Amino acid sequence: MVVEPVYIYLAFIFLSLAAYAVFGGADFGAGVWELNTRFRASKEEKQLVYRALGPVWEANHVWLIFVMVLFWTGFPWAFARACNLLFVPLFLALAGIVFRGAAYAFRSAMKEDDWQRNVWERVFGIASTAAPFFMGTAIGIWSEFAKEDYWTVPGPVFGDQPDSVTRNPWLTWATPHSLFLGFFAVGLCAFLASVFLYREAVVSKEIKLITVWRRRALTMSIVVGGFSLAGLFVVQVFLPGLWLGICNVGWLLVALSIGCGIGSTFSLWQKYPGTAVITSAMAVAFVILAWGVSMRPYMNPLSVKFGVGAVDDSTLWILIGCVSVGLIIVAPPLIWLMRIFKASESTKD
Amino acid sequence: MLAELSSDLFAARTQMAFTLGSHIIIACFGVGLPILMSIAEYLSLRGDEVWRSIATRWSRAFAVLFAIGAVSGTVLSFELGLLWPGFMGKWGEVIGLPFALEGFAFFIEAIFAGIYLYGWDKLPPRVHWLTSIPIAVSGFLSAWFVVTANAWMNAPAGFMIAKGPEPVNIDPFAAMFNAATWAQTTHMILAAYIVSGFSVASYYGFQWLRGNRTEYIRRAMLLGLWLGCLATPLQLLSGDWCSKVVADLQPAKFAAMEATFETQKYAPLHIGGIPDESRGTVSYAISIPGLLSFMAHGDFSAEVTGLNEFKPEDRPPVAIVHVAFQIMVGLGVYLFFLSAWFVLIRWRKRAVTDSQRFILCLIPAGVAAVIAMEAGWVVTEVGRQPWIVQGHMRTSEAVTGATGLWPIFFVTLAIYAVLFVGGIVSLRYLARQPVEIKGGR
Repeated sequence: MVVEPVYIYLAFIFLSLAAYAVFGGADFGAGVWELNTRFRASKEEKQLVYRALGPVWEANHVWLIFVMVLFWTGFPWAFARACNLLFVPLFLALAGIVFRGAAYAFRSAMKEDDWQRNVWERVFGIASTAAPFFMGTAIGIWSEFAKEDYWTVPGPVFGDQPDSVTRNPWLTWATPHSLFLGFFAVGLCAFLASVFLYREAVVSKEIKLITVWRRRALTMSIVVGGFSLAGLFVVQVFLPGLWLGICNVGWLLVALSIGCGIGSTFSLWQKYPGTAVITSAMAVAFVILAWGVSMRPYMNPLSVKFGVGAVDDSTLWILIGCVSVGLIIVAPPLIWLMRIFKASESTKD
Repeated sequence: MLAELSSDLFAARTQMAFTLGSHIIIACFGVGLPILMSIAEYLSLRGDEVWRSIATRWSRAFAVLFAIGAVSGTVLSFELGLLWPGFMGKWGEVIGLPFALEGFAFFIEAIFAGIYLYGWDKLPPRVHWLTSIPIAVSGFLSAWFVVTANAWMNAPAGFMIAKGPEPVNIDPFAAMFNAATWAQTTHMILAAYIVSGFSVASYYGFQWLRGNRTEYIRRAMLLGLWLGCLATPLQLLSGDWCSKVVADLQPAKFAAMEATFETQKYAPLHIGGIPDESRGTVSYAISIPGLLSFMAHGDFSAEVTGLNEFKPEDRPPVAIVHVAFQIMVGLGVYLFFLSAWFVLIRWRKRAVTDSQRFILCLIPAGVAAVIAMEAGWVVTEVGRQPWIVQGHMRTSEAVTGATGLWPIFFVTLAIYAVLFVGGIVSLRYLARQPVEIKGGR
């Protein structure tokens, strides 16, 4: 059997996106908690949130850059069109990303109890919530616009497509399903963060925090589980194209995601933090992969073959080769980073 | 309608120029500062507490700058698609490879930055020092990769235009190693070292003159000076190399840089001066006959192509490019004399800190290096206009069809204002913390 390079390439894109959703998502989620517990969090609780983020958030953020670069290199026209279409939510998500990162660095430069540090921590919390929200809305609009050949037809990006004329990106990016997916994304992030922080608390043996984060993680797992089921209905009603994809191919991954979600609730209940981290991460990763696979007919390699959607096979093979070598080079230091700061010894702020 | 379109084009260009022009300064520190940190920590390995204090304090400043660089770089990668979909759509395949490789280099830099910045107490000193090396190397590499993509816009290669509008026979490696790559990447990376070195040296020189005469300040200033003063002479050579490459590949840009309106032999070099585009003259310039021909082609009698060879719509804005070029060269010469002076002082085995006059002349060097670098970037970007891809795509063909770019630009200005004020406040905050030499973290 000959493997189409475009499938391998798409697998790289969606696996990277899943990695970003898990690692980047957990970092955003920590900010969501910072925002929500601003006035009642104890000093120790806040320290746990910030020191969990410190060494890793920049590396986690690179997954996003990576997805962008792979996408525009492999599917230049689809990228160009997506950018036009998603102009508003992407710009707002970008503002969130900028303020989250900068605010984290600024607050870390300040001493504790300095008023400036408090201001930046507030900014950090708001921006960490805004970024996943707008990314979620972008995915909502994206899913809706995935029509048979929309992403693959090249040509002047504006003007020739009826929907880009009738649809003003300034006014109509906020649809019911895009807003739903925005909140859903924030919920996923908060869920991941609560599970990850539960584990961090266990690792650093902070008895009070263990109880707090375990309770939050359990609550979130049930809330997000309910959200996910509601999400299936939203997709069925508002995004018939995506729903078709889920029914055809995506259902297995959806089922896996639900299974992992139940597994994470169970391990939280039974107090297995390590298992909870793995199952919750897999539950989120499977959501992304299910979405990617269900979108598949619309990034159809067949229409690619007729010369337009993806770049030439030869270029794709070069890219696949470079990305594989790159991942092999990046993996050991990445694992080392995680081992230094996330292994079972306690970390210091 | 046309006016509206062109105003959106101008808005997109202004936005790109502003965000890229901001990022490039921060990125320079991401490339240069790790080298200084690494050397300082290496010197501290035998138990020297002053060097250790320098290394730890610089690493905290680096954490702030690296974060700003990471997010402002993300802005750029979004903007490539948001503002220039026509460019990314048509050429993404050709120049995607260096961007992907730059992504990996940045990944390595971010991973080791995390280990380095938070690993002071977790790793043995020697291992901790070793983790600074991948930061410096990957900073170098990410600059190299991303500049190859810009070099490609100046000297497109690695594709063919056959029947359709789409490029075919794409060879990403040929695109990456295009004719402008080596000269331009060398020039940019040296510029990053010069900006980092002189900014550090200027700052501590200022502290020294203010009477803050500690061993800490003296060494920090000297280390910055060494980096800046070693890179500057090399930069002069690489600048000469760049100008020859530009003269070959982009004669219109070269003519604009030198304000050469008519094709001529024994072409004069204009030093300074204000070009008048409508009349095709340069006023208030010092002209040295034949020198330009020599600089471009190594022969005083060689013919230099003038702007008259190009249709008006194919010419870059001469005044901006010429003046920016003069600023870059002028400041480069100042930095070169400063470097020579420094070497002379060391040659005579004198201490730099004994020469009040030298330190006085050093203080503007950091700002001068930044301005020179920005001016050079204006030369290469504005000099390429009206093309986004030299000879293949006009900037106007690449711009987004989205309207309302001006409000976006003003919002961006506000965001960056917060970013820069926050960054400066944080750096000053860090600088105000008292230097603890013994047992300080």
